[in-house]
Amino acid sequence: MDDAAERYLDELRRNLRPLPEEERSDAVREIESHIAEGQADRRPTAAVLAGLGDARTLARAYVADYHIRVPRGGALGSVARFVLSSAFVSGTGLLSLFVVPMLALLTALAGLLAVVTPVLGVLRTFGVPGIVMGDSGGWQVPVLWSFPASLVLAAAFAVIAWAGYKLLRGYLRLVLEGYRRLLPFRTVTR
Amino acid sequence: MRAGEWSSQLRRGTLELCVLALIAGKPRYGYDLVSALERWEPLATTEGTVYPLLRRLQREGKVEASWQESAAGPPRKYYRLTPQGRDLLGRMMADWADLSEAVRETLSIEEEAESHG
Repeated sequence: MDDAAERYLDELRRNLRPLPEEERSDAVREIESHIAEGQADRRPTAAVLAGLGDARTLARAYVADYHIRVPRGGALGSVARFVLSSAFVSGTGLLSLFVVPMLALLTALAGLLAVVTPVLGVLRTFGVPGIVMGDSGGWQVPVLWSFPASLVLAAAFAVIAWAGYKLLRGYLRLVLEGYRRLLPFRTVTR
Repeated sequence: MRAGEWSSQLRRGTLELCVLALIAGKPRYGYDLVSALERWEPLATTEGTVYPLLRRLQREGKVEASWQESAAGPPRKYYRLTPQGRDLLGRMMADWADLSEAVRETLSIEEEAESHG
């Protein structure tokens, strides 16, 4: 290790002060190893150090990453936060117990009907008995119109299935987003 | 945004994927990793980005590291993937495949439009 390398490592060590001591010395040791590898490769020290970039910039990159991932101060620590989290978890849990199966059932049922209805329409066209298409007043869809009418009905079921699916997805996303916000880590977009 | 700035942001995002992929192949130490990346000109990166990235991956439990003495030369810090890191790599590879396919298709539509116009 020559003077330039020593100076570089000193500067790095100084600027890594915000890190816990263990991480700090480990990082310095790793950079020291990198410089030694470069020298063993017969690369001039100046070139190796240039590759690493300014020591202060390098230290800043380490420290910036560290701050992004540290646990948020007092996460779930305060009583208010604890109560809020408990209320959110139990509240959404209870709500989900009804909302999720209901929407899932609606989606599945409507989806199934959207597929089955046109089949029934075709069967009715060819005179298969027992398929009723009409209103409660006794009015019946003419047999020839069975298939087009069944397509319209199927489209309506498809729309309901699609809406149920969208609602379910939106609901899940909302709840998961809430849980994520309760996690004891703050996420910072870089 | 200038093309240079755009390209450096693009590289920063893909560097993590490449680093994980290289470590998945075999345990590697920093200098080895940097030299491996240098083989591809577009991936050649300053060592100043790789080391803090490795530190973050280690802190997040995506890689684990151990110091090993080398026969000649300084001790080396070897990195290997954790199961969590392997999961992440799998997901990133899938994302990358989807994204590059979509970009490729978008660009080919652009080309078609140009050749018609």
